[in-house]
Amino acid sequence: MASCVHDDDFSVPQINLEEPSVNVNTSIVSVKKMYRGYEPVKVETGPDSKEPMYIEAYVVSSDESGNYYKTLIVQDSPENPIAGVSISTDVTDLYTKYSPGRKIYFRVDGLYIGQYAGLPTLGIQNGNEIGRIGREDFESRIKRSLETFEIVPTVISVAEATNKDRLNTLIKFEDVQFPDGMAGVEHFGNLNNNYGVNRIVEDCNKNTVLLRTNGYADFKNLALPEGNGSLIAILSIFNSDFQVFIRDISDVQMTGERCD
Amino acid sequence: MDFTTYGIKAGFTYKLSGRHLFEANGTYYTDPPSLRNSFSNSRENNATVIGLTEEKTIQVDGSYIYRSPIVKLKLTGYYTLMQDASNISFFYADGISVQGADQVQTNGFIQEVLTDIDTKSLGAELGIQAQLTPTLKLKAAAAYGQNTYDNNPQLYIASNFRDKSIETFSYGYSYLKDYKVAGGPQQAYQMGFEYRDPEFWWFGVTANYFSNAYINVSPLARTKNFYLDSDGMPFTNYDPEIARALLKQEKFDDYILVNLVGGKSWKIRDYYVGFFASVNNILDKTYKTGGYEQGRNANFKTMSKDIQYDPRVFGPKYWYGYGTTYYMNFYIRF
Repeated sequence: MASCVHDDDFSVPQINLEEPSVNVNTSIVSVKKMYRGYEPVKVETGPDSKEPMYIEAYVVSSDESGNYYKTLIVQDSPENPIAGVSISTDVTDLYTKYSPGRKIYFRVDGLYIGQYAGLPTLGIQNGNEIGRIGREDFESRIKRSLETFEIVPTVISVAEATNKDRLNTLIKFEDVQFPDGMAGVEHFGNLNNNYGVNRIVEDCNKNTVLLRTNGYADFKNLALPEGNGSLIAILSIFNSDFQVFIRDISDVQMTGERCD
Repeated sequence: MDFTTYGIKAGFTYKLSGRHLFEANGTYYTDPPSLRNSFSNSRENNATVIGLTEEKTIQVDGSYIYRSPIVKLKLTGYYTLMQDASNISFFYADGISVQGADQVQTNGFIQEVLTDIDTKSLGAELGIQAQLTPTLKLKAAAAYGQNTYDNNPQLYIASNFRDKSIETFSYGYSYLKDYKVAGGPQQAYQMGFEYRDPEFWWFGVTANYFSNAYINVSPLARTKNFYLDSDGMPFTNYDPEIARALLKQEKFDDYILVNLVGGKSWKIRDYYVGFFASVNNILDKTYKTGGYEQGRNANFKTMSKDIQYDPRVFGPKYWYGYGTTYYMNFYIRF
């Protein structure tokens, strides 16, 4: 009945929530197949249908470093994904809710599937292009799962970085390096402006891929590492150029011996 | 609204002898909730508090009294339970997570309605007075108490929500159990003496030590709202350890107050002329008498951000005691 209550006896609210109940009835693969090339196509279960359509997806991008901006990249599985898609929105600071590995449910009916410079993208109709989904629309469409998974990047060779099925998914190159004359000399971005910059990444057989860095990334003034090692990145494309984006500098682990 | 309340009381005194007395009392009574805690926002609507009920109080105490020509002593122990109380606070909140049918709302002027509040206080008090000589009296007192929340009350908020489909939004439990109820020091000790000279002057000094005073905590910040982001899911960076540090109840510093009082009187023919003077808090100690956490930063995100500012933008509000105060009174009695 009576006992001493100490100053640290209080308890804090413990997370006790239920998973959102969502009827997942389509997939990233199916939505991407609706696109027939050229102008964006409306996503719906049938002509003029208002039936809700949800995909289940796993976040792979992060806008925390600034390398991504107003873009959420998701793939259909935390490991060995079959497809990924880029979601174009006006929302910023996406990482505060949708950090890498977070499982989400996303309502896609009424949106448009198309390509932005060749990259499969979900958004709204903006003439013949894909436009950004407004904040309120985006927030009413996305539901966060309680679960967060570890995204296992798919290890591929630099030569395989031209497979369009891997666009918008997390990949990993092993034993790669920045070329001689660039490594340790140049930086991820330009020191004197905020333009996006492409840097060549090569493997020991001189196959190359482009590493694209946004001019507003918080690591853009860092020097390119001199060693050889691994690079985790999201595969992307700009017209005919395949390119990769890192989420932040921890995706670059090049400290080993170079192959020259 | 209709409340029928009643109370019963029982007590007895046992006199072992003229010097040793024992007393015991017990009461149980119910009270209607106050008008202020019955209507959630009487300026705007006629909404009554959901789940409003009578407040119940159970109180027992026992005392031992010792009386001799020189020493008087009283030792009391008490135990009080107050149950089913309600309380309403009004404030502007940032960082609420209200999921309407069509709209999400994250800020607004709200009425925070707390119901089913149980508090418990227990403690002991001791008072001793000793007339050492006809002119010198010593006195000492101690109060050792503990006044805590005894359960996790229910909390909902009412507001003029932007989403017209909802009038109230419930957060379930406010985890207040084992927080201290604010309301002054829960421990106090006093020592003092009084000297009365046969020449009609007197003075006394008391030293008072106060401790275990606590801030009034914000109930909304102790609900699940604390970890809910605007989409009704937890903050990705919610860390119970950091939450614990943010939600720890502030304990105010102990303080000592030394007070001096004295006076003198003269009889001039049929008149009495005199003065009386006191100096309180001679040491000019600065001390907090109370305070409350502002409800504005209602969640982990807004509070974590606010705490980085020095001083905080919406930090706790405090009340302070006076520094040294002087008081003097002259009188003529006829």
